[in-house]
Amino acid sequence: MLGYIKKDLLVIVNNFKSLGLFFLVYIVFAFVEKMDVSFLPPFITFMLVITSFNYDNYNNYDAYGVTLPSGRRNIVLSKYLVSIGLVIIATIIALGISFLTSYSNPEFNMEITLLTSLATTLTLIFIISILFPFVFKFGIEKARIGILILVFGIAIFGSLIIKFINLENIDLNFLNSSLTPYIVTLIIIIITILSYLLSKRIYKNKEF
Amino acid sequence: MKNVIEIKNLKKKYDNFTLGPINLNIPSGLVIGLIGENGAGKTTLLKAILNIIKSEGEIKTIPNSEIGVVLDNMFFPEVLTPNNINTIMKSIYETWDSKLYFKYLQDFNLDSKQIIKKMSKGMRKKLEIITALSHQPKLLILDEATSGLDPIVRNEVLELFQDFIKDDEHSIIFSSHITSDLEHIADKIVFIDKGQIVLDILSEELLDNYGILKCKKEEFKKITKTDYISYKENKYNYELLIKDKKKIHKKYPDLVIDKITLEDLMILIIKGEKVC
Repeated sequence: MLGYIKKDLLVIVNNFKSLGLFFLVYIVFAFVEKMDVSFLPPFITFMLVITSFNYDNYNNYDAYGVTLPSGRRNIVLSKYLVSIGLVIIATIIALGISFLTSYSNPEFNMEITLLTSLATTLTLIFIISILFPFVFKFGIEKARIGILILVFGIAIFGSLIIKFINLENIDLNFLNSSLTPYIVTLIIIIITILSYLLSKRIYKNKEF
Repeated sequence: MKNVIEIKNLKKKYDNFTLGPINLNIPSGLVIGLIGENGAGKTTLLKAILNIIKSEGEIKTIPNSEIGVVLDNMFFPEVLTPNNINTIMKSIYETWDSKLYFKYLQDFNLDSKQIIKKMSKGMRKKLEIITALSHQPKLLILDEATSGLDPIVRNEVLELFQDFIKDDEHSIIFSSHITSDLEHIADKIVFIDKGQIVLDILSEELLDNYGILKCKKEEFKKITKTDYISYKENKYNYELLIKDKKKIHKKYPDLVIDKITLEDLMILIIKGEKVC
């Protein structure tokens, strides 16, 4: 398992070098402009993870990887662990930078920053959970189109709901509960586990 | 002799191509040369053996931790370096030998810090071969492993394979278009045509018994049809694939019988007119 994680990490790290400038710009923004851009690092990390699929696809790594010991199981698991792990680590680093820059920012609100970071992380993990089974089933190129259709589909479906249901009549106060972050986190964890099990099943029978 | 691979009734169907049914045993200690034209089913067979594709039938192999593979255009992402591959592989294979790996890198003049993307096709192929050998496998599965290499490097690589096969427990399945490479090292030839094994024979037996009989049109007409497998009409003569050189030589002492090469064999079986 460790070897597969190392492979994904090394692909991301080697690719990250070319994005070093981007991170420099981020740090400058965070310190000089006193902006809360803590959502950026996890987002960039997510993009890097997606790029790692591109490299795998371009070099037909999957066909090679499944010939390695326990390849089929470990390739899927390592993608989930590395992606989610890196998004969480990036969030923690971004939070650290936010706290460091907060001394000169009178508008800094720790609670809002923490909630924004949690929301960003959970959103990205949710996207990973939806996207990965598509990627493992159809490959990264087709999955991108699929996810676009899905996002637009949800947006259209959502706007239709808003159009036909009067939201004012629905009591949304439960969302303000202090338990909401925990419940949402739990739901995302369950979705992620289901997503992993589905991806594992897809990959088990996949041909390259 | 123990088999490293046993295949029974292997079948794989695609819309426009069917492989099999294939029945094949690969004994340990031998180099198997897999030949056939493009699209004959060689890569499909290797992919089925390696579980890269799903197939019907039964395939028994030694554990894949004991198999080293070099596949055509399938390897690690090109942003990685040979150093990275060492880091990865030592966590994947318990038997990974870093010392041997770096020795091979040095022997083949490969820079351990250079990313794969910046390597030539030949250098990449060398890296793939080195990687396949460094976890001390018992079986090597090679699909077009020498294509893209210049003759000098190809020779070095073939020597590496010959060293590998010195151990009686080691085997190689080697699919290649470069039939002269197989003539150098193969102990057994498996010839696939249109998804079927048309010949499965020891190289020694092939060279001893098979031959190319060359004759003129008038001579060709006098030859009994059961004495040859297939024939090809050239501009000035006929070439006949024969199975029993000694018998044919006795029967037609005035006709020339040439030694067979794998290329001749392929051309006469694929392109030659078959005798019904």
